[in-house]
Amino acid sequence: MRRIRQSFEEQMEKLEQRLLEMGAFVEDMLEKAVRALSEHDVELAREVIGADDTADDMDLEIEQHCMRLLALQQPMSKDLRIIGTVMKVIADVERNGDYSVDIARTAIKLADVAYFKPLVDIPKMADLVRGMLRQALDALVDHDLQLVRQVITEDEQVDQMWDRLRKEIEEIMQEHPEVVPQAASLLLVARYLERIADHTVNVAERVNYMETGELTVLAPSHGSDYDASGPQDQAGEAQ
Amino acid sequence: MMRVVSAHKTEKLAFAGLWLCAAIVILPVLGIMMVLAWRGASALSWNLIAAPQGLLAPIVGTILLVALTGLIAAPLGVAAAVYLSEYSRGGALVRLIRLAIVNLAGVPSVVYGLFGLALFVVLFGFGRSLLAGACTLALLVLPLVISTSEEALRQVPAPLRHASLALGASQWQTVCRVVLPNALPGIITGLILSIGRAAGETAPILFTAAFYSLTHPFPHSLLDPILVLPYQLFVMATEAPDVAPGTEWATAFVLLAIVLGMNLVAVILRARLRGSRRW
Amino acid sequence: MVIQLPDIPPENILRPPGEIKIETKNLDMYYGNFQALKSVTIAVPSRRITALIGPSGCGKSSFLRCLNRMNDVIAEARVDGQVLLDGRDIYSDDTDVVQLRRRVGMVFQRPNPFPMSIYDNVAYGPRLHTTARGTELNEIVERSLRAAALWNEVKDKLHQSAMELSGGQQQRLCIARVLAVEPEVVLMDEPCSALDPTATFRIEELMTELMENYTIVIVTHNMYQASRVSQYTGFFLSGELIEYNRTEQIFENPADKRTDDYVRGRFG
Ligand SMILES: Nc1ncnc2c1ncn2[C@@H]1O[C@H](COP(=O)(O)OP(=O)(O)O)[C@@H](O)[C@H]1O
Ligand SMILES: [Mg+2]
Repeated sequence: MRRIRQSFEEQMEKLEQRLLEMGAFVEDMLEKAVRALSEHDVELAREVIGADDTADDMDLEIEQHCMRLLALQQPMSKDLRIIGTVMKVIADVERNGDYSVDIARTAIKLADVAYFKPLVDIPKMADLVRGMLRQALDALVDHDLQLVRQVITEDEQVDQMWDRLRKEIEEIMQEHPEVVPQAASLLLVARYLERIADHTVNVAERVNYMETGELTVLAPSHGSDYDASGPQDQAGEAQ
Repeated sequence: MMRVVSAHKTEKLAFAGLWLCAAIVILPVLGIMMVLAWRGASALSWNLIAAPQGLLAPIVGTILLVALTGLIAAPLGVAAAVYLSEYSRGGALVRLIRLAIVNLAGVPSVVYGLFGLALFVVLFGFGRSLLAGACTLALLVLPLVISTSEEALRQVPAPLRHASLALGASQWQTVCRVVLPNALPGIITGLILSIGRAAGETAPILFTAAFYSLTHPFPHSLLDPILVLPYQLFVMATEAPDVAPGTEWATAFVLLAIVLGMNLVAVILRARLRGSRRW
Repeated sequence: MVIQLPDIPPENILRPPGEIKIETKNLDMYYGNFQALKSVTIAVPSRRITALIGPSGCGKSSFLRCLNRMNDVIAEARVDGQVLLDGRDIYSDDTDVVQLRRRVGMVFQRPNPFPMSIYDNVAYGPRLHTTARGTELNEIVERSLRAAALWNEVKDKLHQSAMELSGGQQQRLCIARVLAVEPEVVLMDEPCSALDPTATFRIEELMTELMENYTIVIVTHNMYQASRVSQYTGFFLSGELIEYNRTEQIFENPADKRTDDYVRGRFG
C-alpha cells in the first residue's frame, strides 16, 4: 500500500523516538541514584538531582509535540490512541524521574552513615524496576502486548520484594532503635521503587489500551496492604 | 522571453482573424440595408405608407399574421419542449419525435405552402385566409420554437428541479413554479426570433393567406385573405407593371426593418430578463 | 457477470438501541449495469445524527437518495431490497412519493435556493402542501427561519432575492425551506462542502440543535465533520457498508482494517 501520509508517519516515529529517549534518560537517573545510595557517592547523587530539569524539559517537549500533532494532523483511530497514550505516559515517566531524585536526596542524607547491613535487596529491586520501565516503553513503541504482560508479572515480584523488605526493616527497627533514622530512610527508598513500578504498570496499561482500544486495569492488586489509600490514588502522594 | 513574445504574437494574430470573420458576418446585413435604402431612396417617404394604396395594409397584415403565428406556435412548441425535456425518459417515441423535428426543420418552405393549402385551406375549409396562413407558418416555425424552448428549459439548473421535487412538489408543480418561470426569458426570445424568420417567408403564404389587391382592404375576420409585405414585394418585383420606380426597394427595406426590429426586441428582452435572474 | 458479495461480519454493523426511524435491508442499487450499492443493511436511529463517510464515489449520495426516492429522478437508476420508514417500505406500490418527500426532506451539496425572494423560498413548500396564506404563512416562514438560525440576519429583507445571500446563508435558507414542510427526517448531502469554516461550524451547531426534533442523516467526505456532529457513523466503500457503529468507536477504534485505514488517512 502506498504511504499517503508519509510526513505524518515520520512525525509519529519521531514522537516514539523522543519517548524512548526520555525513558532511557529516566532509567539512567534511577540507576545512578541507586548506585549513589549504595556507594555513598554524593557527586553522583547531585548529578541525578540536576538531571531532573532535563527530564522535565523532555516531558514538556513531547507534550507539545503531541498537542501539535493533535491540532494540525487530526489523528484518528490508532494514531489518536498512540498520541493520547504518549501524552499520558510521559507524566508517569516524569514522575519516575522525580522518585529518582528523591532517592538521590536520600543518598546525600545517608552519605556519611555506615549501613547496618550491605544494600542488596534495594539494588536488586531497582534493577527489576528499571527493566520494567524499559519493557513498558518498548511495548509501546513495538506494539508488543507480550511485554505488557511481562511488566504486570514483574510488578507482582516487586510488590512481594517490597512486602518482604518492609517487614524485615520494621523488625530491625524494633530490635535496634539506634538505626531507626537510616532504616526509615531506606524504607522510603524501597517505597519509592515500589511506586515507580506502579507508575510503570500504568504505562503498560496504557499500551494495552492503545493496542486494543479497551481501557482496563490490568493489575488491580498492585500496590500493597501498606497503602491505606489504594493504588489509584496517586494524587495523594505527591511530595 | 521568447515564449512570451511569440504568445503575444499569436494572440494578436488570432484576434485579428476572429475580428475579420465577425466583420464579414456583419457586412452583408449592413450592405443589404444600404443597397435597399439607396435604391429605394426616391420612394422612401411617409407617403409610401400612408397613401391609399400605401404599405399600411401590408404592414398591418404582416403584423397580424406574425402575431397569430406566435399565438399558435407558442403553446404547441412550449408544451412539446416541456414534454421532451421534463417528462420523456428517452425511448423510441422520443427518438421518433426528435427525428421528426429535425426533418421538419429541413423541409423547404414551399412544401409547407402546398401542405397548408391542402390541409388548412381545402380540407379544414379555412380558405385563403389569415388563419390558414398563420397555421401554416406556425408549422414552419414549430421545430425552431421547440428546439429553442428546449434549450431554454435545459438552461434551468437541475439542482433547482431537485430542490423542488425534494420538497414534495410533483413534476407538474415543479414545471409550473420553478422550471417555466426560470426558462421564460429564453423561451420568449427564442419565440420572437423564430417568428421573425417567419415574417419574411413568402412561399408558405403564397397559396394560403396572401392576395394582391389595388384597393388595399384590411381583413375583417380570421378567414379573410390578407395583404402581406413579402407577397406584395414578390408581386411588385415580378408582375405589377405600374409601380413607381424604387417602390419595390423601399418595400423590401420596410420588410427587413420589421424583421430586424423584432430581433432587436428579442435581444433587448433577453438582456433585460437575464439581468433580473441569477443562479 | 456474477458479482461475488463478500461476507460482512455482522458484528461490524451495529443496530443502535432505541427507536429506529429508517431501516434498509439488503439494499442494492444500480445505474444501468453498474451496481452502486451492494446489499446495504443499516438501521438509522430516531432523533440522532447519523453520518455516512467514505471515499468519493463509494455510493454515499446514491444511498441517501434511496431514502427519499430522489433516485426516481434518474432514468437508469434501479433499486432492489427494502427501505423502511417507521417500518413501512417506501418502495412499495402504495407509497405516495410526494408524501414521502414531505416526511423526508433533503439538503443538497451546493446551496440551491430558488431565484426568488427569501420569503418565497421558505414559503414554497407550505404553499404546495397547505392552505396557509397571509399571517399563517408568515408565521411558518418566521418559525422555519428561526429554526435554521437565519431569522435575525434576514428578517429585514425577506423580500429580497435569495441569490444575494452568502453561501452559508443560502445553505441555511435551504435548511429553513426544508423545515417549513415539517419533515421527520432531514437528509444532508455534503451540506458544507461549498462553505467556509465559519459557515460550516454554524451549520454543524444548527444540526445539533435540530437533532432534538428531527432524525438527521448526513453524508460527508469530511470525516472530522462526521466525528464532530454525529452519534453514529457508517463507513461505505465501493457501494458496501463496511462498518456502522457509534461515532467514537469508528474514530477511536474501528473494527475493520479498511475503516481504520480510511479514518487514519492511510487509504490508497
Ligand atoms: N446518475 C448516475 N449515473 C450513473 N452512475 C452514477 C450516477 N450517479 C452516481 N453514479 C456512480 O455511482 C457511484 C456512486 O456515486 P455517488 O453515490 O455519487 O458516490 P459518493 O456520493 O459516495 O461520492 C459512482 O461510481 C458514480 O460514478
Ligand atoms: Mg456524493
